[in-house]
Amino acid sequence: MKKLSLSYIRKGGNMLYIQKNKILIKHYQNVMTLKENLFECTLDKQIISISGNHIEIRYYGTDEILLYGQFTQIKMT
Amino acid sequence: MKLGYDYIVIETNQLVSFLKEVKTNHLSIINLKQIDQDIYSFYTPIYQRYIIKKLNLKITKSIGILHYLLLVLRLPHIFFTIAFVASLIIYPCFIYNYKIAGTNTKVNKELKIYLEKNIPYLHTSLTYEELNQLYDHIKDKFSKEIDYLNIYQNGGIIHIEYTNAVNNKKQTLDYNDYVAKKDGIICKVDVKKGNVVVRLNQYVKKGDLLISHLIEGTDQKTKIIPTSGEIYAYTYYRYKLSIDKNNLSKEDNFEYLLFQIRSKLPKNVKIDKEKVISYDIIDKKLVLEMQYVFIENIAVKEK
Repeated sequence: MKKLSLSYIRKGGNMLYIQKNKILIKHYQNVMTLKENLFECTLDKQIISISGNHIEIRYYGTDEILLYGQFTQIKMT
Repeated sequence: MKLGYDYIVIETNQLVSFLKEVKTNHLSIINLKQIDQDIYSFYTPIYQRYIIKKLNLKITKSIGILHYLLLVLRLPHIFFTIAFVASLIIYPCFIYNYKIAGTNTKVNKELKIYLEKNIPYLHTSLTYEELNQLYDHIKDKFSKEIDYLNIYQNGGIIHIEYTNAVNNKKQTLDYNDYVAKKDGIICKVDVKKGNVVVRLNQYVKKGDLLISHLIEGTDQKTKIIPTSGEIYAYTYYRYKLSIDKNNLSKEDNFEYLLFQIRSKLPKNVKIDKEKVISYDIIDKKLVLEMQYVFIENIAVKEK
């Protein structure tokens, strides 16, 4: 079943699921920054920066991270 | 897996390094929250406790079914658990009590003695065949006292339910007429069988017919019916008693005579009225005359 509110970006072997106040990052490598308004982690060949408010880790697994919060910007560098 | 989680609080100023270590050790973290500056809390699945120990983290509390299950399986709780489970299995295999549901105390007592004799304490539980045998034995032994009997086993308790035997004694029917044994005025008719030939407030004389064993049907034929009952009437009596005038003191004379008369009254009657007729001195004797109205059963079988 297709969820209308869900969108995802697939780049290389990495995957990013984005919902209203949730972001699931698959196949991450390392967390670089974890603050209330900024989250940064490295992917295979990129760095992903997520800005927003009240960012917190809801699930932190070996291969994926689920973030909750009010997100304003996602940057892939 | 939502079976159980450990709650952990850590104090670190290098959370990123900690997360790196967590990832290296393949530990999963749920609900990571910052409580205070440099103080963080999170949950980890119980099945990853070995990693928690490896990382030297302290578990603050645990939640979930798995947690309680592990508690039970720990020493010395495991012994209590085993004992409890064993008692659940072993107890129903033995009989340790009887419950008798019945109203006849004599039968209850005899049943208890019978059961104690035949099924001693901690006897192995009865099979259906043995229960049927027990049923037959009790039914035979108490055939006169018991009508309905039910025996069943619930765990280690044998339940016995019974109802008392209905009194089946044959009643001999009586076809005698009932007549009045005294004069009186009918005040109450309590007749179970028979043809009542008197009415309330009717004056009857000694020997008058009260209940007849003959009744005439609508087909003008006379039928013989059994008779049984009581008919109450107001009956009148006079009692007279005298004593020597000088025998007692002046104040006690009347009470003494009244007491003497009352002690002579019949016991199976109800006193309706009591009246002083006269209280005189006749020939140097004190004479008390009393009148009584009794309510009594005047119906007797005619011989």
